[in-house]
Amino acid sequence: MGTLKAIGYDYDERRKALVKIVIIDELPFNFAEGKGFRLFSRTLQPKFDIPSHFTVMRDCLKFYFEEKERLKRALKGQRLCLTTDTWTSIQNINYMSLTAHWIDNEWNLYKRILNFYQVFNHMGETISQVIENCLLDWGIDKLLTVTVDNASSNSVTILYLKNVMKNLPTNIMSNEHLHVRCCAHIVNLIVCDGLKEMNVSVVKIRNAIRFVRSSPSRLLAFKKCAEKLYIECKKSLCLDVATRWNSTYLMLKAAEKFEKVLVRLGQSEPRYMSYFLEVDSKRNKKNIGPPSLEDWKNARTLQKFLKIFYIVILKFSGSLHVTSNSFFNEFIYMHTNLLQLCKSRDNLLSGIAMNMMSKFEKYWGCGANQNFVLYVANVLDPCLKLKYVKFCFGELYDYDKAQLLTKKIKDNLVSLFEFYLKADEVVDDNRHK
Amino acid sequence: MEVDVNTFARFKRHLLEEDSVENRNEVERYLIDGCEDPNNDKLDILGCERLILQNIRYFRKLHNMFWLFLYPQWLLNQPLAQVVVYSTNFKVLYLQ
Repeated sequence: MGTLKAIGYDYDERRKALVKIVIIDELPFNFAEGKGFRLFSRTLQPKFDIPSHFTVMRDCLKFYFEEKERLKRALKGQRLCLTTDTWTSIQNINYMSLTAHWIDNEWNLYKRILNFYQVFNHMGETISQVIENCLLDWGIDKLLTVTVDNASSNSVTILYLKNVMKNLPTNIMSNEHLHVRCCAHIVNLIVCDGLKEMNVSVVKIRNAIRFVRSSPSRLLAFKKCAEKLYIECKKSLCLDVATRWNSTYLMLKAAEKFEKVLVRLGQSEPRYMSYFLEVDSKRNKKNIGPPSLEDWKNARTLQKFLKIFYIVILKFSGSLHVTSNSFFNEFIYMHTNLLQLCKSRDNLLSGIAMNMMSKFEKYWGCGANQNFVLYVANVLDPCLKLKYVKFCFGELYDYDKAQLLTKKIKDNLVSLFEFYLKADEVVDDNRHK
Repeated sequence: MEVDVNTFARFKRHLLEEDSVENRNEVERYLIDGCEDPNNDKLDILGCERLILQNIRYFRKLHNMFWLFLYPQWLLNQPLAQVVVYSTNFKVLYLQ
């Protein structure tokens, strides 16, 4: 049964709540000065004097510093895995973010964005200096890994960080495992290599979808064609984002169903064909297309590849659960599927698969410069352990290679175990003292 | 007795190796232990570790409580033991 509880009116509490609304919903500071919110607030609590946007801004800053101190306390003594990325906005401004992941003593996983900076350039020296300052600011001295994408400047960043941290007593195995290449980025590189081969077909299909989505009357014409062919269009066509291949997969997947509808549209809608005949000032075709049967076949082939990587990327991009232990499983999934497609009788299919495979081998192959900490994470998974690694390597490589890789992983595991054992002994000694 | 410095160095190395073998054995024990069902998608690794941590804490608490129960008993035993000691001494000194 619920119990009634008397709550006194606390002006400061209300102001704090207002700050939280502004931050969580990403509202402007003067949001509270609006007529609608004033009315709403007066109805809820007539006593509450709405602060000015200057006061809200000051409160937000105060709240930020309070939270920063709280986070600093939470980070104390934790071993962190950092992730950093840089990008350029459409206004040509360079940004850099630094995110920390860690597991506390109660085995809870945390993810926090530590910094969001504006940087002058994407050079390794610049990024590393920003990271160093950030580590000093947050009082971070225990790192396990730093995950970065495969840009060459990031190798400079990692070297700089290793150099800066080399004398810290908290380093694990002389920071041998510090550099982790972002798996999602490697997948992205592999997929983009495959996409290049069939880019023309993808562009033609994209143009056809763009035509349908460009006006309500065109969409209506498309729907009428679908009705005539008894094709349900509850899930309509969607356009992709140029920089996201996974959205290209979703676009092709949705469009595949409507292949016949688009052919029919070409026969019944004169605007559709004239759209593809438009030329620019240099007499070049503005929109290539419409997609031919060959293009649709290519799209179906491409989908086979994209599906493999789409499933993998969904696993890799989880942020609410640990993902490092799933790396090896996904690695095997990609390798096995690519190998199968390489053996395909379809020349186009096998050609793309071989291209992708060579990229795959570049980053995750036997001779590649890999970080074995990712494999150790797999061994620590009670469902898989070293037995799974040994079994899978046995299937992928010859006996000697498989043995060598398994031994390497086991040695890394033992070294890590010894490090943590020593660290525990030091803690115990200090406790006894 | 003077021992050759090299012997100490070798002994130290031997100890390190022995420790390493022990550690290797502990890792080995983990690796030899059976695997959980690999098809179990719902297995939460951190959740499992949390459960182990809770069990360790529970047993530690139980262990402390065990001493808490034993301590009053020990305290009670002290006067009794003193009485026994005094009576024995008394017997030895005055009655014999």
